[in-house]
Amino acid sequence: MPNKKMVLVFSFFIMAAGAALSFFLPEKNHYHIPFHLFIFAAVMLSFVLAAKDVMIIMLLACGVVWGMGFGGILAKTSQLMAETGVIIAVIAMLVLYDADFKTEKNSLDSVISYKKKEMEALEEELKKLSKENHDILEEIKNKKKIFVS
Amino acid sequence: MKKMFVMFLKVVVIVFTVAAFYSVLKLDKSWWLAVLFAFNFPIAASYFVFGAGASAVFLAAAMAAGIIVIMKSLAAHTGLLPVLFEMAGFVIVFIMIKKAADINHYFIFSVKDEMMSMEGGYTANLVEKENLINAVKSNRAKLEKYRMLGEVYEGLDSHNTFSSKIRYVLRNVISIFHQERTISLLIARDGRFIKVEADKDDDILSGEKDQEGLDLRGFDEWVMKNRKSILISDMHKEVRFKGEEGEKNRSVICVPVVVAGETAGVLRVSSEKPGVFDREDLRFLDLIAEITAKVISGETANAQ
Repeated sequence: MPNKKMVLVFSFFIMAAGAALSFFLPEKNHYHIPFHLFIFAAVMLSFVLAAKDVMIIMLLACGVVWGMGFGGILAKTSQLMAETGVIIAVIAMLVLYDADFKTEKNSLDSVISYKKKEMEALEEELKKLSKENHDILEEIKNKKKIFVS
Repeated sequence: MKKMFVMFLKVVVIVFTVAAFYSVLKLDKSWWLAVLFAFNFPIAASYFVFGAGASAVFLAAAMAAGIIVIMKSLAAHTGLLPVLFEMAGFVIVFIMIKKAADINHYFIFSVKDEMMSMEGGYTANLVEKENLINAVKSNRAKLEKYRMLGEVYEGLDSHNTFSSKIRYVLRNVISIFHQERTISLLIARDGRFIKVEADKDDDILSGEKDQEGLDLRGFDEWVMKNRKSILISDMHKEVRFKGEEGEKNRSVICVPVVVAGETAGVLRVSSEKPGVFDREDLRFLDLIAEITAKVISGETANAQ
């Protein structure tokens, strides 16, 4: 992805903003809306990072919000648990999709590289045959010259 | 295994959505947003296990759940903003996943396109290879004929007399052409003709006769007069030159023998089979005519 760096920066910004807003905004009025922002970061990160890295980063980020839960800043921990489960489930789906895509990509890449090798071998063979044909035609031309001179 | 897993996921997605819908209706307001947030899972999962269309249906289901929560919020006099934010989140997640899937699909399609174009190129190269193999084969055969002709040409020095040289050339070149064919050389000299002939049975016949006494054909005269080569694929179908009754020869090639700008004779190869000769045979006979012309020219020089 060409704007990988930008996606990474934006994802981390969303996570930081989500964590900060979870800390500052009252849970009573805004529920866990800032925490829900994490799902955008998770989807974006899954585009640019390996599955394992996304999972670690998201668990760490969720851990920060969970810390607020344990610290008494967030009271609705049951909901937080369910929401964390949803985020992890979405990441798992993205990971599966990515793995499936990579498998297909790898198989296509290997077919392409095999075909390229096959093509190169054939082109090499064609070159040899062309040279042989050219040499024979040259020899014929020389022989003809002898007869007509 | 993969199919089973996908099937399992499909069931999970459907059951999860139904359960989430039920929860929206049944659970108290502290759970509404958490349950609404859970709809992100079927939206994402359905995109991968069912496809974009199905994912849009799950998005619609999530929106319907959102509307139910709005109505319940209105009834409970709670803020709508978090619900609206959650609903906007569904759309954003859907768009992001669609974008990622589109990029991947585009990549797969472009690779498949590349593969197809490579296959086309490979097939074209295979055809070219086949053509080249045939060309090499036919050119090798051609070269072999030219080598044999070269040997005949070099062997001329070992013969002293004109007659022996001509007999040597004709006897050997007919074997290059093919055994079942006949080669004739008609040399014009002072209004008289010498005919030298070679075929698979008798290697040589020679004689000196006048024009009427010889088997001089219409096409021989035409070649002598016009100083041009001629190829007749089938005498039985030939309209330019009338064949004789019971004509045995079907295929004929005939070339002029030119010495010092004058037509000294004609060289003719015939076969009893139709369509035996091609342009290449005609070109080859032209070269034999060149060699013959050199022999005649040498004889003329000696006589002078």
